Amino acid sequence: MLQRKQFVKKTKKGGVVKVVREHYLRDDISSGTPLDPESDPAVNKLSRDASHYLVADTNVALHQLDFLEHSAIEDVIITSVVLEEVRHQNQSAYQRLRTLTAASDRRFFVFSNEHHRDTYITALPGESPNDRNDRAIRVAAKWYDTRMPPSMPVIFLTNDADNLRKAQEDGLRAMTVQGYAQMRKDTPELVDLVAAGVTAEKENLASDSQGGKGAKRKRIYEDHRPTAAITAGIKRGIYHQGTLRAGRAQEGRLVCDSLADEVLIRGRVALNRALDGDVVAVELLPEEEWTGDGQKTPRQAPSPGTEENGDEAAAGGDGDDNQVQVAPGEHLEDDAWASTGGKRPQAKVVGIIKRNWRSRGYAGSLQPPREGQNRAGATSWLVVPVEKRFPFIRIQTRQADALMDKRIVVVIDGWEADSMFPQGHYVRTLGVIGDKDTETEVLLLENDINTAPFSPAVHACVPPLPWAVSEAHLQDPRREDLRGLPICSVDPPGCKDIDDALHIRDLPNGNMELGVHIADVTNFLLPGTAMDDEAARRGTTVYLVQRRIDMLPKPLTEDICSLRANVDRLAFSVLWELTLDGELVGCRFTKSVIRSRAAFTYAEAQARIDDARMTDELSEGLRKMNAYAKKRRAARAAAGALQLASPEVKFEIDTETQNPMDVAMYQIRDTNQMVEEMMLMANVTVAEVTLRAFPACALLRRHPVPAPRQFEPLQQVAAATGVSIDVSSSKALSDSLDGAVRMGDAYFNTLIRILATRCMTQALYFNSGQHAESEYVHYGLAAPLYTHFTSPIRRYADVLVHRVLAATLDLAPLPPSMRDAAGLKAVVDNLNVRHRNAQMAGRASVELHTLIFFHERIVLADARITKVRSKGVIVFIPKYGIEGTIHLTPKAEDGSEPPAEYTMDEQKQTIRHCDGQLALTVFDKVAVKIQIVTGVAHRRSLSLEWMSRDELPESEHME
Amino acid sequence: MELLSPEGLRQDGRRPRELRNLQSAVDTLGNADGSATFELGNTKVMAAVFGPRAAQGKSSGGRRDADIRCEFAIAAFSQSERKQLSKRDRRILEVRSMLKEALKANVLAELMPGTTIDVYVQVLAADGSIGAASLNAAFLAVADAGIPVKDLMAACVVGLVQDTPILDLNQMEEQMSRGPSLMMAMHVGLKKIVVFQADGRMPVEGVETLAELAEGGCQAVGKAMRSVLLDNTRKLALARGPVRL
Repeated sequence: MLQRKQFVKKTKKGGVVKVVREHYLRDDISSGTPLDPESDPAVNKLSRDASHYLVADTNVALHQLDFLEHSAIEDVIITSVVLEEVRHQNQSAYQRLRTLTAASDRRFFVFSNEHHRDTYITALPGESPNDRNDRAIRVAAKWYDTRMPPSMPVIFLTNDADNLRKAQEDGLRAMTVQGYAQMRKDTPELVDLVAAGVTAEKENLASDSQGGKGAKRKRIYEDHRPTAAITAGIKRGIYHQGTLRAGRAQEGRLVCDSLADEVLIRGRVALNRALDGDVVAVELLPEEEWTGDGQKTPRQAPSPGTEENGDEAAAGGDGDDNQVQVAPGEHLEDDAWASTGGKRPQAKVVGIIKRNWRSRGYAGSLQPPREGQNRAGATSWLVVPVEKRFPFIRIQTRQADALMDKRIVVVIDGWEADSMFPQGHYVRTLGVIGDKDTETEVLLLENDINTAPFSPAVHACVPPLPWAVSEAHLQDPRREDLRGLPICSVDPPGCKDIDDALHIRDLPNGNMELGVHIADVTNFLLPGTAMDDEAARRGTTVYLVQRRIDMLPKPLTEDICSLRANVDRLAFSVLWELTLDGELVGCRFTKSVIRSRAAFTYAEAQARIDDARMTDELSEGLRKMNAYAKKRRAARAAAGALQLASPEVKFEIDTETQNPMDVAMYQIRDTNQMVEEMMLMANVTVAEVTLRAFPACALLRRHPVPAPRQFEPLQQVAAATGVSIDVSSSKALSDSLDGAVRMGDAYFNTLIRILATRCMTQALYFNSGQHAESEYVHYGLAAPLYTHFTSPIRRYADVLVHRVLAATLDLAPLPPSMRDAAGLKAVVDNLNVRHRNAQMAGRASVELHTLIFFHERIVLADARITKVRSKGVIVFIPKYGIEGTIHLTPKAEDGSEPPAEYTMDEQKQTIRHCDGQLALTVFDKVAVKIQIVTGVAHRRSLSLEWMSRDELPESEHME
Repeated sequence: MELLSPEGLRQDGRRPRELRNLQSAVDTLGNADGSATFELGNTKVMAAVFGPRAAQGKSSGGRRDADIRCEFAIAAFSQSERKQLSKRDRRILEVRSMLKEALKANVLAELMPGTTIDVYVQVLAADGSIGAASLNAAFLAVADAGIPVKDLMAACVVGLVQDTPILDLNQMEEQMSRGPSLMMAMHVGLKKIVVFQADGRMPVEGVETLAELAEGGCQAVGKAMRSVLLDNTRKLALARGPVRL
C-alpha cells in the first residue's frame, strides 16, 4: 500500500518548499511476540510468559530512561513513532533507547507502527503533529491489545494526563509511570528511578511538608526567551551565543565569537539555570553593573534562597575556596583571570540554546540535615554534586536514610523558573563516601570513562590463549624476521603493556643501525570489527594510581601484543641507519617478528648504563643509545624545543590495603629521556612519511602556538623577580626558560618551567585534511610535524597511524573509513576528548590518593609561593606535588568579611601584613601545615596553613 | 539521519532490496514516432523518439549507420526547489552522454545507414535514480518507435548505506548516504552489462555484491518493461483487427 507524505518545509535560505515523499505501508511487520503466529520468530523479543506487555509513549521514552533501563522492566514495545520523536528531541536519549532495544538480554521490541498497514494513521483535520503521534501510539497499543489473547494485558504508560484519559476512553489499560512503579511491589526501588516530571514535582511539593510553601512559589529566575526571540536577538547583536564554562555553580564565563572579550556571568540569577557546558544566549549588562575586581565572588546578596527555603540556606556557601589540586593545569585559569583585576564585561543568561545535561548523571551525596533539624520521613532532598561547578540537585527519594552516607548518581530532569535548584532523580548508588573504590568510581564517572567489561562480541575478536607466532607469520614475505637482533624494552616498573622495544647494533659497513619496535596491534585489531569500534570509543587506556582501565581486552594488552621478554612477538619496526657521528643516512619501516631479550625498568637500564663493568651486548647498546639520545636532545633544544616540567608524584602503595604509604616526586632518569627521545624520533619520522603518502588523511598531532596572552600570568610573576620571559617564539621561550635561574636556588628554574607548562594549550590529534599546513606545527616539541605511533596498545590514535603507515608501505589497503573525512573527524574529536578525560581522571586519582595519604595525618612541608592574591597566597609543595591556597585572613564564623589586614602589591607580587611583620613575595620559601578538612556534605579537601619556617624540621628543607 | 533502521526498514518503509512502485507506459505522445513515460516512485521521466529519418547535412551523409542524437533536460519544477539547470551543467551533460552511449550499444544502428534518430528525454519529477529512469524511458520510447535493438535494456541504481547494499535509491538516500552508489544498465536477456557507472569510492570486495544486486534490480525492471511493451503490442494487434493466418 502506498501513502504519500506531503509537508512544507522552510529551507536554509528562508524559502518555503513543498516536500513529497513516498511512504510504503506493509503487511509483513512483525509484532515481536510468539503469541502472534504471524510474527517472524527470528525477530521475536517479547516473552510468551510475561505478566503483561508495556507500551511507552514518547515522553516516557524520553524522560524515564533510568526507569526503563532497570532490569525489572521487560517486555516493552517501543513504536517507531516514539523512536523518531526521541531522535528529534534528544540524540543521546535516542542512543540509550537504541542500546536498550538492541541488547540481546533485554526484551525491548521495536514495532514499526508507521509502516504497518493497520496501525498507520493520517492526521485528522486540525490535529497537531504531536497529537497525531500520540494517537498513533495509542492505535498501536490498541492493535496489540486486540491481537493478544486476554491473558496478556497490554499496559500503556504515559505521564500526560490528556493522553492517559484518551487511552482509557479507547479502552486501554493506561497508567502513569509513577502509578506503574508503585504497582510493581516486587521492586520497590523503581519508584526512586521515576524522573520527576514537571507536573509530578508540583504535586510532590504541595504534599511535602518541607517544600510545602503553598502553591504560589516566588519566581526566582527570569523566564528563558523563546527560541525565535533568541535567534532574532543574536542576529541583531543584542544577544551573544557561546558555551558556558563554569568554575563554580554560581559563576561562569563565556567566550563568544561576537565579542572580543570573555564575559563573566555572576550569581545564580544571572546564570539563570545554565550549567557548565550548556550553549547559552546572553545579554550584556550595562557597564555600571559590572562588579569588576574579581578577587572574590560577591555573595549573591540577598541570596533568594536563604530566606525562603530554610534547608537550602547552606547552599549559599558552596563556594568555599579551599581548592587544593594536584597538578592543577588548567584549573588555575580561574585564578588567573580572577586576580587580573579591572572590570570585565558581565552578562546575564537570557536563554539556553542547547542543554548539556549529562545523561550519565552527576555523582554526589545527599545534603545532611543541619543540626537540630528533624527531616525523618522527608522525601525531598538536595544532592550536593562532587564537582563544584554544578548546582545542588533536588531529588525525591524514600530511601534517604540508606543513602545518607553514600555516593549516589543523579540525573537532572528539569529546572523550573520557580525552583532554586534543578529537579532530578536518583539513578544508582556507587558506595560509601570516602571509600577508595567508591571515590574512584566517582572520578571515573565524572570523567566519562567506560569501565564496563568488554562485550562478548569484542572478546570474540581476541585470538585464543596461549598464542604464539606461527609459521605463517614467519613465512609472510611482508614480515621480516628480526629475532636475531639485541632488542630490549625499557619501561616503568610493573608495566605489563609493553608497546615499544629498542635495539642498536653495528652494521658491516661501519655505520650503526638503530631500531624502534612497536607492538603490531593492527595485526589483531582489524577495522570494522566490534573490538575496533570499542577501542575507538574508549580511545585510550586510562591509568589511575592503583588501577588501569584498558582500551583493548586483557589478553591482547598484557600478552599477545605486549613485547615481553624472551618470547616471539609481532612488531612494526622503524630502522634507521646512522653514521658513527650520529648522522642519519637511511630509514626504513617493516613489519617484523622480534624477540626481546630483556624487559628492563628505567632504574635497571640506568644501572646497566652507569655500571662500567657491564660489557654485554645489551648494556653496550643502551649506552650507545643513551649517548645518541643525548645528542638528539641537545639538537632539539637548540632548535627551540621546550623542556617543560610537570610535578608528577609517585605513591608507594601498601600491597595489602592498597592505600598510599608514601608520596614522592617522580624521579626522571636519563633512561626515561632516552626512551622518550627514541619514540619522538619514530613519531616524527612516521608523521613525515604518512603525510607524504596521504596528504589528506594522515593522522597527526599538533600543538597550537599559544597566544601571548596565555603567558601573562607567568610573565607577571617572573617580572616580580626580575626575570623577563620572551614568548615571541618557542625558541625564545626555551632560551628565556634556560636563563631563568637564581643563584643558590636550584628549584627556581623548575618552578618557572612548571608555571610555563600551565600556560600551554593542549596538543590535539587531527586529520591532515582538516587543517591548513601552517597549523600542523607542534609548538612544544618545535617539530613541524608530529604524530603518535609508538603506543598502539594503549592509544587508538596510534592504531590509526599504524594503518596509514601500513597503507603507505603497501602492506595493507587503507581502510575506507580513513577516507571518510566527516567520519574520521568524529573519531578524532572523540580521541581528543578521551585523551583529556583520561588525563583528568589520572590527576583526580592522584588527588584522591593524596587525600587518603593525608587522612588523619598532619604534615609539615616546605613550599614555594607561586602566586599572591589579596587575602592569601597560592603555594606549591614539591614533595607532594600539590598546590593550594593559604588563607592569611581566616573566614569569620558568621561569614562576614573580616577587616582587611593585608595589602597586596600586584606589581611586586608581594603581600604584606599591615603591622609590617610579615611580607610574602612570589617564589618565597614558606613552611606549610597540611591537613584534611571536611566541608559541606562530605567534601573533603586539603587545608594549608602558613607556618614559620623555623618550625620545619631540618629533614624537610629543600635545597 | 538513519537511512536504514535496525529493524531493516528504509525511511520510506521499503526493505533494502525492494524497488519502488514502478509504472510505465508507451505511446504517450501523439506526434512522436515513439514515446514513453517511466515512473519509479516519485521520479517521473518522459521520452520521445523521432526517427529514423534521412540524415540532413553533409557530415552525416555518408554514414554507414544511424546517427543517434540525445537531448536531456530536467524540468525546473521537478524538485522541491525550483531550479533550472543549464544545458551545459555537468549533471546534464553526464546523463546525456550516458544515454547516448547506452543507446548506441543497444540500437542496431548499422541496419539504418544514413539516418538520424533523435531521442528527447525530459525529467518531470525527480526523486532519485534519474539516470536509470531516463534510460528506461528512452529505451521504451525507442522500442515504441519500432527501432531494432539488440535486447531489452533495463537500468537501476544500487548503493551502499551503512554497509548494506540497497536497491533503487530515492533522492533522500542519494543525498544523505555517504556510501558509494552504482548505476547499472544491462541487456536482460543476454545478461550483458551496458552501463556500469560508480560514484564514490568502494572497496573492491564490495563491487561484486553491489553488481549482483543491480543485476537483480535490472531483471525486475526489465520484466515490468517487457510486460508494458507486450501489452502495447497486443493492443496494437487487436486494433488491426483479427489476425488471419
